[in-house]
Amino acid sequence: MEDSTSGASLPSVGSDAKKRRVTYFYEPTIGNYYYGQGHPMKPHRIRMAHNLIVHYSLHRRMEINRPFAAARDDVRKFHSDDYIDFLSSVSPESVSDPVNGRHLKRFNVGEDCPVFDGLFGFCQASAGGSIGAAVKLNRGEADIAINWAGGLHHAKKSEASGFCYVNDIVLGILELLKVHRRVLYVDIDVHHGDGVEEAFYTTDRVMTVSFHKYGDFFPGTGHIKDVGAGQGKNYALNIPLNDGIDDDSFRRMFQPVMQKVMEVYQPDAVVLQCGADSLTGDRLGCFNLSVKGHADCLRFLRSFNVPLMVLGGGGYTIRNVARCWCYETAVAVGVEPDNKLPYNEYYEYFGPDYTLHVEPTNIENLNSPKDMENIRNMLLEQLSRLPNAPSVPFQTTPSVTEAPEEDEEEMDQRPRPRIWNGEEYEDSDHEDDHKPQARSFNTDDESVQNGEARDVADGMEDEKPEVDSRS
Amino acid sequence: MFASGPCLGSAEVNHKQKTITKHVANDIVVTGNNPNDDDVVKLRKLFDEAFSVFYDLGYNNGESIKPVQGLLGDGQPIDLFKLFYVVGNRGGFDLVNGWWQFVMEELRMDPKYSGCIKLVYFKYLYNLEKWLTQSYSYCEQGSDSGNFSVDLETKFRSVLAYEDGKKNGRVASLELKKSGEDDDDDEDVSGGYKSYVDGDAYYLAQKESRKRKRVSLSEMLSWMARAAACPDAVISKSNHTVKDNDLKAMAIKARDFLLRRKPVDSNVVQNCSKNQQKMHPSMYDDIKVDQAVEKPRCRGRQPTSKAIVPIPVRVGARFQAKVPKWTGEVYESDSKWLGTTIWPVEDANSVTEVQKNLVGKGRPDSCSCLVPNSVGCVRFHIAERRMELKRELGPAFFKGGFNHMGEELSLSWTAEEEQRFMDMVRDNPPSQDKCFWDYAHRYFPQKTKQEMVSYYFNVFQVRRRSYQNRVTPKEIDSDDDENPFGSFTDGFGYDAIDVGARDVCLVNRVRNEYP
Repeated sequence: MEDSTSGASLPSVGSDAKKRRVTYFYEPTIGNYYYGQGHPMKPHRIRMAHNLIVHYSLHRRMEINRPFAAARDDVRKFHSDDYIDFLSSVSPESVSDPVNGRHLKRFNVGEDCPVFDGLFGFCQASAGGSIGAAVKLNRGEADIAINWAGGLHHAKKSEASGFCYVNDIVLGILELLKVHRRVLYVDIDVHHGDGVEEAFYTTDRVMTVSFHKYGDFFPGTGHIKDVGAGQGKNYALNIPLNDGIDDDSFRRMFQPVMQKVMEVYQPDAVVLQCGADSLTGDRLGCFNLSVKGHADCLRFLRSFNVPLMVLGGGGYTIRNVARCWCYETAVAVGVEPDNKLPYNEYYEYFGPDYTLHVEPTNIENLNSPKDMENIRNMLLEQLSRLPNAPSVPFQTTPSVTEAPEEDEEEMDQRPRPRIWNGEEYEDSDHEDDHKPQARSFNTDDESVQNGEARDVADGMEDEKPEVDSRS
Repeated sequence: MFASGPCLGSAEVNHKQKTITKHVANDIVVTGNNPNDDDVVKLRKLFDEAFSVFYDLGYNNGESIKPVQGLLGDGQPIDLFKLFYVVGNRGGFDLVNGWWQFVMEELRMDPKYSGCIKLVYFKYLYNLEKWLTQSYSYCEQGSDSGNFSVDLETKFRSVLAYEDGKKNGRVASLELKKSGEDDDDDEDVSGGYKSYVDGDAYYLAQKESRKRKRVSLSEMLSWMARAAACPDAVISKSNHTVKDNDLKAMAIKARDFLLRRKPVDSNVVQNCSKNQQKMHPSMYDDIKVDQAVEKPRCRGRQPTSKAIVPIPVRVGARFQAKVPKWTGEVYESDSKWLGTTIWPVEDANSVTEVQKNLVGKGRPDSCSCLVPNSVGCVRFHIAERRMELKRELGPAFFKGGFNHMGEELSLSWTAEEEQRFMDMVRDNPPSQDKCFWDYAHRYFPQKTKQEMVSYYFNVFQVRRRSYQNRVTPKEIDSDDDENPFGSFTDGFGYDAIDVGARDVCLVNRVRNEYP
């Protein structure tokens, strides 16, 4: 098919087409949460994506879990008590109560973020999925964990914003930080990932990288000069982009920047927010990415072979959201699905062409190569100011390809993150899954620095020839 | 005086204005009869603002082209504010008419131009005077303090506050459009990041109050008008002030800015303040006045030449997450978070082995249906595929919620109920400011909101899309449920294209009982 070579996409098969153990979280009732008539955010899109995923039989390559609903106390690990008390108690009926009026304003609930039936239940499912995904990675039971109901990156500590109430990403990252020293957050939603950036603005244990439309656009933050503060200085990266960016331009920005980030920061885990409003023809977005161009970001990060959490986010042309997240699930499990959609319950939503992929439109790309180059250079310069792998001496020597021998002394200091070991890992590991370098998960943290450097180098090799041949 | 004029009433004014006016009136500083310079400056700003609003709203007999600057025959500019003030102070156009020479005297202008001045006043200011009088007297009778400046200020403020609340946002955007811009669409004014100039201007716009923006924009526009009329005098004049330079720089930036504008999706209307910004504000145009008044919009922002300070990201315990220091110690996660496994099913025997190559497979290239791709054909294949899936997934079919997906849900609705649902949607179109969900419980007292939402996405929208795909394939829309339904007839025109797949669904129903 045209799939492997068309457009600016990377080939779907190649040295990186190795299997990963994938876990996918899905709450079966998610599709019936409803923000209200005319509201562009439609949780139904998650159900549509799920439906497509299963009709493509992708579930055969992964585990599907129904998330545990996050309780109020769990959500308070990030959010303030009064905000969560309010969120969990408010209902459409009580909204007009004058007592609530002050709260609505204070917590920015009511307009973009309406009070709808089951609001907190929706937040619980979304947050529960992302925390679950983190736990799955923490325990070393999966290489990739997906939660399309997550990715609600605008929510603040005490404030709802941009259709987001509870920041599942922050909660998920906090969970990852229990086991992982450094977590990288990457955001390809068309909107700036302001909630996550703000939450981790002053720490170097989380690096946030956001690619977004900037300039007269929600939420207004994400200036290239916002780089973090205090301990976190230079650990926030903002890539401001303009209308109409296409696969090619996006890739030429994304790959070199992310390559450098992976190289310098050496994260122990990566969280990718796959907001689908950066796709072409989005109801609220203004980018011009194809499904493949969008998924290339995932493909690229996946190639580094670091524990990866994949989350949803924005996306307001719901048929394309479902297409995108279905295809990205396929990328995660290492399958290239047919372009002709299988028959499915929501088949008619995808008419009149009934295909998986969408063609970008011919809108003008306002990102001139020169601007892009300037931005890229500024970012690379910012990255060069980072010490290599903070709080860990950077080791340039690539390490051995087998899982390194454990150092007993260090073993004492650092208990194994995995509660139990062995069986499941071996079982679920497919024969041909054997990676040339046995990536030692979190089982042996002391080896991470070596492992990371090696994996990064490996990832780069996987992708590099492709980049070069096209640029 | 203006304020004591007859109460003519105006459809544009309502009781909300009263509260606002009262509030504002308390803030007015009482001054003597001869306003000092500060007061004049303040009044001038208010005048400029009111003038903009007045024209933007098309109150000047629907004319929305605001005169930037009146000029006399010899190029001498007419200060509209001064003219308005002088005439108003003398009781308004109707009283002054016939005694224009006094006005000319006060304006220190040659009486020979009195005809011109009268014409200018009549054309540009007369309706403004009437509007101000009417709007104000309607809401606040008899609060005349006897001091013209104070009264005028009160009037400006109250009328502006009201219009501001009513038309918040629109004003600013119209204003920018007028400055040489002929697109009639709602647009994203942004030039994007380009890279930091605009972004910086954007930051600045966020910091500036809306009022200031409007005033400086109108100043810039009059400067441009003067420059256009007498370039030599204005641009190359020897006594350049700092302000002149600023205005010039602003005008140049505005030009660049406008040249870079491009139309984008009308839904991408964004306003700018970080905390007050809406991701999708078009839905909420009718928000409460008291909220709207204080919300600045960025639509009317303009680049300025001033130094730029980006909005700082908020730092403090109220904003950041608590991140513990890395100690090397690993904390156990509660296994409850793993949730319930839906797939793979524990009892592997209940799952039919499906060929491995099914993974990622799409639909077959062709089918043997009588009318391929008809509604009936598609329905048949969906039902077929659904049965296969049920066989394959076993209990996971139900645990994964597949029994609550698809058009089959309609089987739990009677034909009469389905018809009623359609009537409900059709009879309460958003075009009439109605939301059918508000009436849903009246149409369906027995059904829960969740059932109806489920029906809406699983059945109603599927059928709507099915119709679109076949009848209006160039105009498909799965997202904007604000759009009217347009051309659908009862049953979405199924009568014309349906081949009758109802039987398939009925057969399937038996297998679709909940576990």
